[in-house]
Amino acid sequence: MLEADSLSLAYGGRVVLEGLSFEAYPGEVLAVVGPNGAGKTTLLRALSGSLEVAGGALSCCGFSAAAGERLGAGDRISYAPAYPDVDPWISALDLVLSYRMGPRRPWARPSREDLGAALESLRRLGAAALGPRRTSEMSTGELKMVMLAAALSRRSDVLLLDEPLAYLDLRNQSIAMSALRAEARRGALVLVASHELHLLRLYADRVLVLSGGRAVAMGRVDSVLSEDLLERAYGVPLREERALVPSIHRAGGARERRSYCNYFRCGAPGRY
Amino acid sequence: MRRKALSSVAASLIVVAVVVAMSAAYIGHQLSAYSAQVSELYSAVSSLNRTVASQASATSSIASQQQSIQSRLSSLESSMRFPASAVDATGQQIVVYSEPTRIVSLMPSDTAILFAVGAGPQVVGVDKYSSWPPCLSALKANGTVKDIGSGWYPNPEVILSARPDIVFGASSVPSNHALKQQFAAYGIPVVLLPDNTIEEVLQSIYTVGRLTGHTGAAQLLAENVTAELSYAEGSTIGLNRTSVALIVWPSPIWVAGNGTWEDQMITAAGGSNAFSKVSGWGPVDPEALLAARPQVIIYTAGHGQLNYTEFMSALYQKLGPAADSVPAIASGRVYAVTGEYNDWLTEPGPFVGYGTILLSVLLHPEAYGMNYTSIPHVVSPGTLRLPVPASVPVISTPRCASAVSSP
Amino acid sequence: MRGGLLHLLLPLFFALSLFLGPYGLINPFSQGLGAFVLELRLLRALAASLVGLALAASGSGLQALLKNPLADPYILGVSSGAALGVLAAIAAGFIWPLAVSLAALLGGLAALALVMAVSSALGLTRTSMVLAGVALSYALSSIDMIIMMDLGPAVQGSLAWLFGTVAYALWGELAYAAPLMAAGAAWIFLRAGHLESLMLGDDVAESMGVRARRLRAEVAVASALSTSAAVAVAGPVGFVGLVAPWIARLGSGGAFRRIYPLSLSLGASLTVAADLASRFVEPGGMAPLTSITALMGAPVLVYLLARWRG
Repeated sequence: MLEADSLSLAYGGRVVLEGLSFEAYPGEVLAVVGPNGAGKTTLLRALSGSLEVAGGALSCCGFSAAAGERLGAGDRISYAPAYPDVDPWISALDLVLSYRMGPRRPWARPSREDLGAALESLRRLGAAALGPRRTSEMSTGELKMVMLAAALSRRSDVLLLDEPLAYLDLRNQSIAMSALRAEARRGALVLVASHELHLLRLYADRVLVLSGGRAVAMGRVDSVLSEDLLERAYGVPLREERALVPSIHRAGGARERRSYCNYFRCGAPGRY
Repeated sequence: MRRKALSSVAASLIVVAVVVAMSAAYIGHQLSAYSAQVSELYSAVSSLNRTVASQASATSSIASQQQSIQSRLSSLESSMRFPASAVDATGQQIVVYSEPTRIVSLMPSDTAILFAVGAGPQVVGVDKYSSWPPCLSALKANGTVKDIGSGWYPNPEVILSARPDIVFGASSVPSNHALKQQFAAYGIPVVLLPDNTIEEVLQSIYTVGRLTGHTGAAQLLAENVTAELSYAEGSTIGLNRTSVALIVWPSPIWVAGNGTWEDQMITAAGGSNAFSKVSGWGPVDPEALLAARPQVIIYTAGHGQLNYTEFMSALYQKLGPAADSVPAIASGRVYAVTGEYNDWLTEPGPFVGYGTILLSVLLHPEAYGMNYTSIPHVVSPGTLRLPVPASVPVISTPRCASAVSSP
Repeated sequence: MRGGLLHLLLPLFFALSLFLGPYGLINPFSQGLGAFVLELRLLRALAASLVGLALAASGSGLQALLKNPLADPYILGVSSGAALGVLAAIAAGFIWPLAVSLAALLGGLAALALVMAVSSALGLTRTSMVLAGVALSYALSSIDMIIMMDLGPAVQGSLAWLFGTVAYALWGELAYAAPLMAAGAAWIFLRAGHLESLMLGDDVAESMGVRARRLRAEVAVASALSTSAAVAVAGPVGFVGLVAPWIARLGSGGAFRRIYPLSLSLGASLTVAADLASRFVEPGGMAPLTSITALMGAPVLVYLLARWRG
């Protein structure tokens, strides 16, 4: 339901992405990877509606945007930024509630349903204890979990998550990955921009690789992420520096996943 | 959550409702009070008409006729004084229906004029800076006259607690204008007296006399002041004008320039203002003294707060050795005026005449048969007696009614 | 419920303001001078409530908009512009009340227009707005100082205005200023949802459909409108616009929709209480409003901050 057609995006006067064409479907987790500055965040921002399309067309969940327009999909999309820039005095629960209620209705007060959904979302991500704490008194990792809980609380059709696993410790990473899989099972389209290449196999279905302003590959994680491709995309001589990204080199992705999950207890939602 | 929301909404609504209800109730009540007052005023005016009409129809025998004519004359005189009207500095006409018995003054100059025309017994409130006549402090102490605080920043409620029927203020003070509009709603006239020139000071004297029922005394006072001014002018006529710098604040140096009443006093006293280029009261650099080269420097030193020696040393500090190139400093004709003399030069009140005579003595001592070397540097009533002949009318210090003691 | 109780402060101080004063206790049903003094007290209390409400609205809106907890209603240069207007009017001889208050209103709005023009050229970002506002404030203050020096002894009259007071409020002034203050506060209220989303981050807010640039322009204009009208009535009353949103925040959590109504009510209460106190500070005199709002507000703020440390 998400389609980009020769999409070009510009940021700060510079063309960041050109001729990007791809499709994404509900119920899958699509990872967007690439070097720094490749345009991952720019793509996510354009999809979230905070950046104009520079060229081509973009459409999602019944809305579309041509050159010069913003994609205004409103409630259908939830966006979580890579580095949250939130008011320091707000509490985690207030953050999730404000996110869920959105910008309408100045006289709105959180309903019982809103409160329930917010608490449930925090609980699912193991952050229920953070509820009353102020954002200024949390670590960045805790704040990212709260932000993720906020984005998940709306149960939107499309989730746009920029670096959701950054700053998280091992336990929180596994909780987050389970949550993402659960969202996909619910029928949402989850778009994740990430640098954690070694974790992609654990939660992503497909991957889109951006490099040099263009898409260089798209497909299932197992098939697309080869040493060759990564070398070309990132410009890093992987074969000579095996120690850099050790887990990529091992064959047998399924075995990887099993041992990782045995250790860190990935599983169905509701376990935590 | 909803309950919380509902109760805070309810609390806010209650707040709003209470405030609105209270305001509506009071405003409604005041409207009816005002209509009652309007009808009161109307009946007062019509009763005045009846009084005049009835007095016109009195008849009797010759002896009693003479008596009644005399009594008619005196009551006609008092009823002719009121209703009295005058125009204040804002151009508004103020009408006073009967003799005011509770007067409040907001400025020292207004207080001085009120007491000088004989309205002292009618005064019930003055500002904290008023100091003339000297018995005022005793009156404030025994509660006959209420201290209403600063006239520059008056508290309306405190003034009203003195229950005035007329208030005198100054037209140069913005807060007095606001007070005028506020009190107009209740019918208390606030008279804003002008104070920029000597003519306006005389005008104020007339206005005060008219509105307080002392037109005769006001007339006399104005004539006295004019006579004093003429005396000063006459004594110095034909003499070369002495250039003078009148310094009203030492640091930074502020002088009285053109367009002030001090400037007019200087001209009447046979002097010329060394800073006539400055408009109004303005700050000048000490170096400007070097350029202006005044022959006399007069500095109003308040009531002893500002010291002559400190002033001189400050001048020397700022000007350095060039100080002696200023004629006034070289010849020693630098005078610090304190005490009551200071008020004569700083208040636009009934003493402008005396102040002009003082200036003429300082600027042209030779006209009075004195040598300038005999004039002390600190000029106060205690150190310099003004050589005023008996022919020049004086402004007598009024006795304060029911004063415990006069200093 | 804690927040809800704080709303009761306003009717409490309002009522005290009607009963207490140098004139003494007044029988509300008496005619004559007592009734007139009561009406003056009512006028003062109403003016103080409205001014406090307007300043708190402006302060909350700007603190959320600029993400700056130290923002107050004057950060965009409104009070310096208003002061310049008033001093220029007084120096030119227009010293009657309506002229002074109109000069304040126009001066404040003109200052905002200048700040917005400069900031627009720089992209209308938060930083450019604050910098332009602060720079303009300093520039205008220097002109103010020159005019004040020029006034000579007459400067005392303008000082009364510069320190802020509601004692000289007039029904006519309130009649034209109250709608402006209410309009500004209402406008910010209508944008409360957007401002709350802005607390989540600019990009998150944009993803929810909030146009950050337009919101900044709107809230800046709305806040300048209510601040200029408040300054036109009472002069630049300080500290209320800074501290009322803070006490609201500390009393009821951080979400903007929740703290906004509370900060309006607290702003009004604080100003009415300060006006009440100003009558008694000097026997027979009056203290300026700004000094009392600061003296009262600062300890409250410090106490609340200390209590809510954890």
